[in-house]
Amino acid sequence: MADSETLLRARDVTKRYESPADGDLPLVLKGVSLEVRQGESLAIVGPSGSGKSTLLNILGALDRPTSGTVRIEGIDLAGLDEKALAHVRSRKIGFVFQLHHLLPQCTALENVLVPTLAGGGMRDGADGRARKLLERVGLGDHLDYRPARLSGGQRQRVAVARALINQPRLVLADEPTGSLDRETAGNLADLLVELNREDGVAMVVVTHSVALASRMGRMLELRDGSLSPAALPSTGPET
Amino acid sequence: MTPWTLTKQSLRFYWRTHLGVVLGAAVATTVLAGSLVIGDSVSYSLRRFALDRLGETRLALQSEDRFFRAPAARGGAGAGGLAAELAADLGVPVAPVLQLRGAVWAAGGGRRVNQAQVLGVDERFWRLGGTGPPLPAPAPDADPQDIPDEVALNSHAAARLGVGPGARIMLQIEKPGAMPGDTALGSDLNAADRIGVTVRAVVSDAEFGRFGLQADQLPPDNVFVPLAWLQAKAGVKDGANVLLVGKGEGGEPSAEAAERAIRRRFQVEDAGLEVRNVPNRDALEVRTGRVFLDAASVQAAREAEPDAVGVLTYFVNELAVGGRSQWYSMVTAMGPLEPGRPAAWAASYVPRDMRDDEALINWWLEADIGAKVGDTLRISYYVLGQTNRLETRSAEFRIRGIVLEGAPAVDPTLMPPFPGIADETDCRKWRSDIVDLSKVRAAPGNNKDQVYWDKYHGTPKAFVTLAAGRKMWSNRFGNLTAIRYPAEGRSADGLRVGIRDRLRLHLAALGFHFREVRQAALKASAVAIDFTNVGVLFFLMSMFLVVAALVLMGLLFVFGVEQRSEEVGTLLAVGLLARKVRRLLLAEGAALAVVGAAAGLVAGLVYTYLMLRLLETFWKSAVGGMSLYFHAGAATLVAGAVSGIAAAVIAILVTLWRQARRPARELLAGGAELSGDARARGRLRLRIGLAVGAAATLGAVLIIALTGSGGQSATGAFFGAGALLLVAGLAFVYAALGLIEGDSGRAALRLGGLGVRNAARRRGRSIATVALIACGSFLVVAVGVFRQDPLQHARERTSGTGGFALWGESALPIYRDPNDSKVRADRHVGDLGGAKVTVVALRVREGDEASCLNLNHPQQPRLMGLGPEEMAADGGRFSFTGTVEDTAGKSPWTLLARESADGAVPAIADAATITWSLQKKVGDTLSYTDEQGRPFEVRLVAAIAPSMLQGGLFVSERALLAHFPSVSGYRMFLVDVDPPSGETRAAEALMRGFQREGLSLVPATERLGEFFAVNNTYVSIFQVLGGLGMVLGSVGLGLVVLRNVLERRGELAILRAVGFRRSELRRLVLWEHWGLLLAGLAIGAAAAGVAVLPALGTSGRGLPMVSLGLTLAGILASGLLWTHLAAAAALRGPLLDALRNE
Repeated sequence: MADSETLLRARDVTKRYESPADGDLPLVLKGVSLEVRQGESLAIVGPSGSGKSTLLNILGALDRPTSGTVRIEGIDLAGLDEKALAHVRSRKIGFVFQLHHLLPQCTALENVLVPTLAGGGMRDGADGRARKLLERVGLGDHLDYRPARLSGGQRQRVAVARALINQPRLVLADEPTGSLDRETAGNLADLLVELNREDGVAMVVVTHSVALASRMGRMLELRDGSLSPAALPSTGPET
Repeated sequence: MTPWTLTKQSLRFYWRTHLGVVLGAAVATTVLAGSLVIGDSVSYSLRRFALDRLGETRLALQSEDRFFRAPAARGGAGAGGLAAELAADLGVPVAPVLQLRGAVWAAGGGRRVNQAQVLGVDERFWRLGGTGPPLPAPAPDADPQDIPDEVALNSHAAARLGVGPGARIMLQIEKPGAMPGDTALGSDLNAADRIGVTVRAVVSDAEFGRFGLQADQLPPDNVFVPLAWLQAKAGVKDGANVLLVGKGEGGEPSAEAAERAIRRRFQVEDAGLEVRNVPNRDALEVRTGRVFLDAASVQAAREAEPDAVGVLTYFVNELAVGGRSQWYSMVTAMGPLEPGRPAAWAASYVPRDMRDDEALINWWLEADIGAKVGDTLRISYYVLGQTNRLETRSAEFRIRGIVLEGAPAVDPTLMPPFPGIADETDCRKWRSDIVDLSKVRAAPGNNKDQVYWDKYHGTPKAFVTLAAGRKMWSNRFGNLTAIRYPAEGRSADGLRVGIRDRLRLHLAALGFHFREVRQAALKASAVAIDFTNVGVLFFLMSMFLVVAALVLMGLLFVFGVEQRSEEVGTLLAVGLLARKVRRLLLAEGAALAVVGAAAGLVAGLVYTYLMLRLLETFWKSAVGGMSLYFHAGAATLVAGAVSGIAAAVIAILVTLWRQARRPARELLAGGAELSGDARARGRLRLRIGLAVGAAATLGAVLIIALTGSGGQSATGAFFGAGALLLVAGLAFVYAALGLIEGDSGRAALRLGGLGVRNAARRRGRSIATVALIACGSFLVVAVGVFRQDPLQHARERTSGTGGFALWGESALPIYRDPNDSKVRADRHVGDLGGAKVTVVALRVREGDEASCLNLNHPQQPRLMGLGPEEMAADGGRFSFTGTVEDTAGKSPWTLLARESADGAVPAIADAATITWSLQKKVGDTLSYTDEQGRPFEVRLVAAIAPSMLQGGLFVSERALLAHFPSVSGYRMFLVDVDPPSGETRAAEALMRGFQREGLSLVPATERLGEFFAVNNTYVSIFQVLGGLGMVLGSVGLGLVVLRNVLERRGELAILRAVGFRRSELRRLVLWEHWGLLLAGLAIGAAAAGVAVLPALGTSGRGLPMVSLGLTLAGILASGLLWTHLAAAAALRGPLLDALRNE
């Protein structure tokens, strides 16, 4: 794999939550390394408490590792201050959370546009792009709906559109289908795969959902703080 | 999409949550803007009163008991006199006023006003007020006696008397005697008879009814009468004693220009001098209607012409040789004023070589008492001793010779116009309280004195040298009754011009100097932005209410933000900087603050209106009973709004500072209590709390140990120590919460323990709640102790009454010693019920009222003259808060008798007067101008603890008379009654005896109560405002309860699910929050207890257990109520649903 194609690279990442009074807590991540290339899709699976969300937070510049490095487009996040980290989050990464975290006071369109407020305000064409994104996720006729009037699946679609508004090359999704029923979850998975394929947006999805994980190009398993390739289960219902 | 779009959407979406924030900001702005507008209204009212009372008057000249030429203008007819001349010269309106003291009462024994200002005015005066005369101008040719007995009252006097137009009232005017009352012969003849008059009109403030030259927010009681009428009634022919100079076409008059003009126009008559050819004598004479020539006039007369001979004629009691005597005669002392230039003609009265122990008697006396040359003549006469007590003195002379009938010295013109004597033809009608008419031989068959009086009138029966005469009869008004010159080569006119020219050089010494009254009035009414400003006091007193509103607002805002923690997390996650998120929330908060401030501004005006009405009614003592105009300046409104917004924004900033510092992942995960290690944080907080608490406690102990508990400084120090203990208490609570937080999980789990542990979970809220309640109880309790009780220790000499039973003032001066048994008998004071009644009489030099009842800033406060030894006797009266120097165990009153190196007059004043009215401290000086226009300094040498002696400065009588010799008689009285039970009887008897002077006595405690009422009213206002703050604090506590419970509804549902009863859950919630309430109350009350320790020892103060107990109980009840309501509301409904909603 050529370096120029590597979008995200994590090397020997460890994470430990400190407690001066009682000594160190156990390592949550034990030297995790991974690479994500442009346009690649990756699923990270693992049991609860295995550190999936912690890893995603570190990859998404929401948290800092105890040791190890994380580079996005070759930029070492450790060397960045809060302002630069915010810039990275705003321009290079899109987030999709398990809970959509839409602003209840804003319409669907406005919610999609919220990330454009970061780093000096809305850029040209953002509004048109937001409309297109919403159309693309099937909500073109729901632009002025507030979250309260949208279904769970629709809200999550808005959240996906929001993640893409700044045209990031990497989308990080933390259990994006976790709070959806099977059918809706399936639709959302379709959407993510479509975005990955058609737009070349790299995607890292942390999930319990085998169905969703299996739609990704690659799958890794995080167990006891260590990452290893995961085999796809051949059959069985999703839980 | 812009940040503003997001803010707008948020404002719209969360409007219910925001309502509380808006209300908090509105309350804060209401109170802030309201306080500023109250200050504005008071300033505006004071300025308006100042302008109302002066009209267009710019300058004023008050010549006191000297009456210059002022024929009244009648019916538009031009009048001459000084005022008309100055008006012509300056091109501005000038009005003469005859201003006299008086008393007025409704006919038929109705209500009485003792301190009335009787003002003789003509149309020129009303023009200065920009209004027409309320009384018809007398016809130009009308005899003054024919002018109707009609007056116009100002509305204040009319209201106090309860009369209106058409009512009959009685008027008593101080008749300015020819002779000052403070002379043995002056006696107390000055009070004029009572005159029945009709009220023709009542003039309002806008119609110049408020006229007065003293800065006082309360209008004087004015009685306006025609100038000519008053001149006739008071016996001041064509005279006036006040000149008012207004603004006119000539522009603004300056004092310098007015003084230049008066120097050009001044005549000897304006000084009350008369220059005449002595009838049937080859001499010219200068004399005065005031009997004694003052020093300035004597100097002018001496400088005008050489060869001046001084004449001093005195009315003596007895002339005796051996056992034979003759009562009531004139004796003249005469001699050259310039020893080197004896006038030859004077020798025909008193030989040049006559010694000072020799006397001449006339032939009539020789025959009457059988005296002969060489005999010793004893001359007995009265002088005035302490408190104007008549004291008989005598001097002995060797009879050198006899003045024979027909000799030049048989001269009736030597007698000055002694009032009550000189103008009487019948000796039995002599009106003087020094004359015992039974000794006058004027009855048929024994009428020797009447025969002499008929034939020779006041011809002196004896002569002594001028030096001998001056030694006996000099007084502060002068030591000559006339100055004579040989007529040869001189004319009366020439002499008049000569004296006039010299007088013009010394006009200030005669009391003819102008004051810039308008400027002074505006200065006095320009209330500074300091602790004496009612608005500032309101502001300070409202601070707790404002803080409570802001804390409440902050809590509500932060609750709102906490509810939206996931939203904040999302914004951070999508790349918004924490700073930007804070800014977004701040913009939202600021918008809410602006809306709140706008609402608060409107409410502030209503609040001001209500407060002003309260200040005019229930709280009128706080503003000295003045009526207030509502006035809100644009700048004040802007300042009120800006300060409200600023306060709200700062409160929001403080709360936000903490919020947006939390990491996004934590916020996204639901916000609360996720990260870190509680035990470690708890221990750190325990250490910080203990360290701060210990340091604050140590500081408090050190302050108390170093200050001691006495003196004024202790009050402030203990207050500081109390505040430190408050901080210490809060720090210990912080530490305790840290301890609980750190130890949670270790102690055995109990329901109560769980409640306490919960309190530690939301430390910020818990501390804010405890702090709010602690600060509130501290302030309300601490300030409550400052309520003063005038009755406490009232009989003690060190109390605020000085141990005096009565305090009083008289409308007209009392010239005789009210302690003198003869005077009491003459005045029919009557039965005092066996009580020993001692009166301390004080002289009063009018000036600005300087008590806390006056909101103006007094420029030259009233001066009261007293005998320091009277006040210092038996350990001294009153308590002192400070003296300028150590008095070595003697009463500080003795400081008044000391002379300072720089000539400053020592003065004592009430501490409240010094601090609040004068804004000075002990050791400071005030500048005064004496009666001769000379500046002098008055130094504050001691401050009296809160007392009834507010309102002016107390100086020694001697010092007062040295600078203001015209202050005659006594007008303020402190009365000791032993036993005190005789107080009422004594007051009635004395008031009856001195009714003519309008003596009014009130219990000293009542007087003290008036001043304490000011303080107590402020305490009440503070408690009301503080109480409102406490209500907000309790509401805040309720909100915290509500919020805490709602946040923990899931947890509580779990407890319910595992078997807890609903009542147990309520107990759990209540214990937690009652603990906070009780902790706040205990800390606040304990700290307040320390803060007020020294105040409890001060006179008039004790621990008001009832009001304090009620206050604390009220706070507790309010807290319990709100907590209970909030817990009930939060725990209402099917709690287990919370689990399903999880």
